[in-house]
Amino acid sequence: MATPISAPVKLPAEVLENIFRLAIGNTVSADPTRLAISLVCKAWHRALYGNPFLWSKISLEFECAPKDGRHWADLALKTPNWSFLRQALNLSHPQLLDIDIRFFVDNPMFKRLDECCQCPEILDIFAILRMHTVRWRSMVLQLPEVIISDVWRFFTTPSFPALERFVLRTCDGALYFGWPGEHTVGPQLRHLEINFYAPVFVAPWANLQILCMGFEDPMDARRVLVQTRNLTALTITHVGPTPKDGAIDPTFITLGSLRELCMEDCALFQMHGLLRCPRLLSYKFFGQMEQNHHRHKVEIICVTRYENNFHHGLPSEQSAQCLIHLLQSSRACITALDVSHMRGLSGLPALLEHIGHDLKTLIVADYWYPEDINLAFSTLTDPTVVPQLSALVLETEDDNLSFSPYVEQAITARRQAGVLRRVYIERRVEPGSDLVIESASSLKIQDVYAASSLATTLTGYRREGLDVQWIAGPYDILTLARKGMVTRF
Amino acid sequence: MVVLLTSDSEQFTADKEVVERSVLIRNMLEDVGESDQPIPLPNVSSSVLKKVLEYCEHHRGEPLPAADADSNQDDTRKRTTDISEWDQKFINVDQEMLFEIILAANYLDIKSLLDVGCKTVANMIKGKTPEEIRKLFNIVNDFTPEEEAQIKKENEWAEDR
Repeated sequence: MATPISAPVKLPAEVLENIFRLAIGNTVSADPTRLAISLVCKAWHRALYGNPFLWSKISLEFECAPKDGRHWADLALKTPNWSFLRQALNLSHPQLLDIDIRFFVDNPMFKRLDECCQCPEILDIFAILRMHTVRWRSMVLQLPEVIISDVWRFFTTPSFPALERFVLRTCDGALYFGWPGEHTVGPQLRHLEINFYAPVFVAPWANLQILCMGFEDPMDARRVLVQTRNLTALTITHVGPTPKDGAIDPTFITLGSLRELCMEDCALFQMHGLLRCPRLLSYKFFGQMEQNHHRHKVEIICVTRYENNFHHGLPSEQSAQCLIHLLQSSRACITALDVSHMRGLSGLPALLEHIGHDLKTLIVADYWYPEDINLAFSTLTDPTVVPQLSALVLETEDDNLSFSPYVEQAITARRQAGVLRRVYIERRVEPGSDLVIESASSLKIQDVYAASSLATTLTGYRREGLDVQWIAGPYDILTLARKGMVTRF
Repeated sequence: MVVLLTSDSEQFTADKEVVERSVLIRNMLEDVGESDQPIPLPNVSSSVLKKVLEYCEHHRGEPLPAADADSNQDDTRKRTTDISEWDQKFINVDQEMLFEIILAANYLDIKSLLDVGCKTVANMIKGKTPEEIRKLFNIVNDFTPEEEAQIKKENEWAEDR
């Protein structure tokens, strides 16, 4: 008969390790729970300190915060506690390292970015990390470009023999940065992601499985893509136009193993006639990336010559035609489509008609006017359009989707056709903000949702076994509806 | 149907689909083929197996998690300790049973149940002082005061918040 005394001490080492990982998070950080665990007893101390894996994932997050703690007009960079770094690197030996350093400085109030992002500590951090480059397995950097230029020298000479994943993102409006020379990243690299134009990287292109990159023009894209052999996921953040005096090579670029593709509108426009992706299963519209290299901003404007009411980028009908052409000429039958970042939904009916036969998952977000949403979902009320659609994911930041009668009609029609299996609706809310409709006498939105006809319908489908979720901030709308925890209107 | 024999010699009969959520049992069934003989589980008592089968029955038909689902997490920064509503009620047992369920899930190789147990213990640990953790789990402090002071000194960074 087991005794409850010191039961956690007697757990197998791998179970105890799992519990510790869950308690202290997946990464090393200045977390008092880590110290608490090490002080409980010798067995726990040994389990924590004797396990390199528990020290091998390092995460540092830099945020901007008001200097005086109150006024958001006067912000400063808040450096995280990183004094554990040396100890973590020593204890993690010989485990490979996963390092994640992110700056969150995209607050629109953060005007004086260059001045506020002076961060001498980051150089000290990289000076320490540089001594362990042979153990880098994953390096994720999300930095203001001014910091990238500071830390870049740490990447120039070392080799990265174990590096499998390298992510470099600018997190602010990137300015031009002169990249000195070419840089080869590790032979083991499988995942390369750079969200701005950085032609100096030379990767083992043939080995890459995941690539996110921008290209100067279609020829530059061809130069890289024809070298890939094993890409399964590709995101193209930008392709500029062919120079006026440049010749276009019309030979197709076949990406035979590609399953997932995501392109910014300008890349879709430039590349749809060149790419062939016969095994593609999923396409995601990227819209226009927010952080563009300034050289590209000039070229993005080229794309905005097309009429568009909302944002820069291709109008909906044109991006739909580009994608239809790409998929039909590739003879690809995609099963998942994310149209959240199309520029309006007016092109969606044609898109669904032409490429929707095998589609099982449709992801939609509501950045559009109600008439756009009504047009799209009135198309979906006909279950012969996209006949195999089994999952509908709606991610919303306002209430146009939730209040469109066509959404409920489309869900009902497809449920009755017996194909729909999953509906997921999420109303995203900033933490701490109120879910209130000002125009409706400040009603709480979760109450309005829970009392809606859509909630009643979805609650019924959930009872029938459909996988249904409707989340609004912290609220589970269908639970509220089921418990009648709302005032009926 | 499959017959299971517990450490206290009690027999349980359950659907193959239910018991095959245990990788150990699934492998045993594959090895021995169809048989009327009960499968002995010498490390699991009847009271614990009853709970384990209740869990497997509730999650019948759900996709099994991949063995390396956690180690290959794309984002290394987050690791959630959220537990679903039903699982929370299920695991709301006394501490002795909680650890018996964890040991049984580990022995039977039922990853999702092991996760629920580990998350529950992790949530009990989070935010507590060493003394609170010792008291909660009845663990004896076997450090000398000097050793304790040394550890605190080595980890000053963790208190600097």
